[in-house]
Amino acid sequence: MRGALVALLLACAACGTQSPAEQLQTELRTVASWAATAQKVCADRQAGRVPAGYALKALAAAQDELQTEDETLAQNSNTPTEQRATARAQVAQVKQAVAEAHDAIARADGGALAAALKRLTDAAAALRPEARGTP
Amino acid sequence: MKKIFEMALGIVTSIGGFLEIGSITTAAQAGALFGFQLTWAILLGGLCVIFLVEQSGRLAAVSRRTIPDAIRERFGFDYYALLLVVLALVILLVLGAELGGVCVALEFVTGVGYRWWAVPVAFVMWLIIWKGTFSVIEQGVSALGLVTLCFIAGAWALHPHWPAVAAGALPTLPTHDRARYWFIAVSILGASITPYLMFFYSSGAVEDKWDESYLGVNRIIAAGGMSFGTFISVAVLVIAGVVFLPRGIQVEHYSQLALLLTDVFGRWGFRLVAASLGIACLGAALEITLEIAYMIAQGFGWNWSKNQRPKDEARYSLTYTVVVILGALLVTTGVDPLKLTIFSMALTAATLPVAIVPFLLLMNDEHYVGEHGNGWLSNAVVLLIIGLAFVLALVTIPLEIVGGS
Repeated sequence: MRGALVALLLACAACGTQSPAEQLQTELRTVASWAATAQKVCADRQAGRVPAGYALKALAAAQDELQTEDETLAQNSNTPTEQRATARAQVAQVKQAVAEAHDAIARADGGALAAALKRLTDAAAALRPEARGTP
Repeated sequence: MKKIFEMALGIVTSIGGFLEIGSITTAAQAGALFGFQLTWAILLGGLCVIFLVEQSGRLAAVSRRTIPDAIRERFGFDYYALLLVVLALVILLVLGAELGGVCVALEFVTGVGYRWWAVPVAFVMWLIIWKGTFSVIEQGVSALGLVTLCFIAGAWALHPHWPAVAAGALPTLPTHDRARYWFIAVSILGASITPYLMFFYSSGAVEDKWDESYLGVNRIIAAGGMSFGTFISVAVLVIAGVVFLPRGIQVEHYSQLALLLTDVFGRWGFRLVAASLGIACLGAALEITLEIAYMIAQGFGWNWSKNQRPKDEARYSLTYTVVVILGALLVTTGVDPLKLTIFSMALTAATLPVAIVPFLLLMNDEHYVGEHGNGWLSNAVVLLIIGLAFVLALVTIPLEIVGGS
């Protein structure tokens, strides 16, 4: 019984250990998730499916999480510098688009929201293959 | 006729009271990350809770005792004190999560930060408990909880690939995020198999003066209510699998939950999620508050009943007042309601043996259940699932804390 438990612990510990490439992929997947969340919030706001108050809070949460991910990427010394720089540039694009969407909703500017949503869609599309770990 | 009415009411109450922040969040996380693959965990948890709730009602109906009362009598005060400390601490965290859920629902609707709602919500909760009778609290809030059936309608309207949903009923190994997969499975089990639910159910049976003539009613309520409740959780998983997974949205923040039904019901989808979350969490928070007070009062032999006036049971009333305050304080600290939920559910799974093993011994003790003791199947199913949840919790909680996923 004890042996089985130790084996299970070791197997699960192995599950939890990630290579630098996997770590980067995990970070990018989180960024892609927040980009997709922001996209859906903006689309739903555009269609009047969610109130502005909620949309602003959700986008603010996305900005906070993206900032955290950016800082994590900056501190991740295991990942090659070039890959890290590319990833951080992608995160910056998403952050910028989310900030624009937040401002557009705060100003109740439908045109600006549509433009921000377009930028967000492009940034999210660029991130998706990276987050999936495909070339 | 009275029994049929009670049965119907019991099933409605169980359906309406099943879903809470733990089951909504864990099911949504599972669907968003693994599609329908973790359906088995919800079904396993549901099966276990059907057995346990039926047993809780049976114990109460035959012995006229609540579970805490019987555990204290059978295993002595020392063991009961240990159980009380462990469970009260974990349940208090769950209370914080549920209160946080109500506050989050209010944030969705008003745009005002959830922390601001902690004190008003706690006050309303306290007022409901102070003024309301047991049936008002249990049946009133749970009947409102039927709004959670919107998740079943939503899942149906999204036309998921049903054979794939059915395939998820069989456990399979994950192809990615293995540690996360098992951690979510544990959290789902912890969200389903909650000792407070069983304890509250047994307290309710004693409050409603059940006797052996209620054994059939109890069986139908447990099986019917918990099965429907389990299907609502599965529906949340299915919706997340259809709406979030293809977009790559992982559920990492409570604000993402509000988007579950907007694809299918538009503006009403947003409102329905907010209402479901608010009402379901309010119901659970009320049950938990009462349950902690019941556990303490029953353990120390104080007067306890929600059908008496507060002045006739001053210590019991003071206890739930303090519990409400502690729950509100937890929310005002700004702890993330989603993270609190996930960890409190996993901790619940880790502490299950402390409560369930002595309970199973009671269910096999003729002194308490007479000729209505457990069969081997009930014992085996519950022990197997509890053991699985316990081992997985021990392994995955440290991994999750150190960020192994």
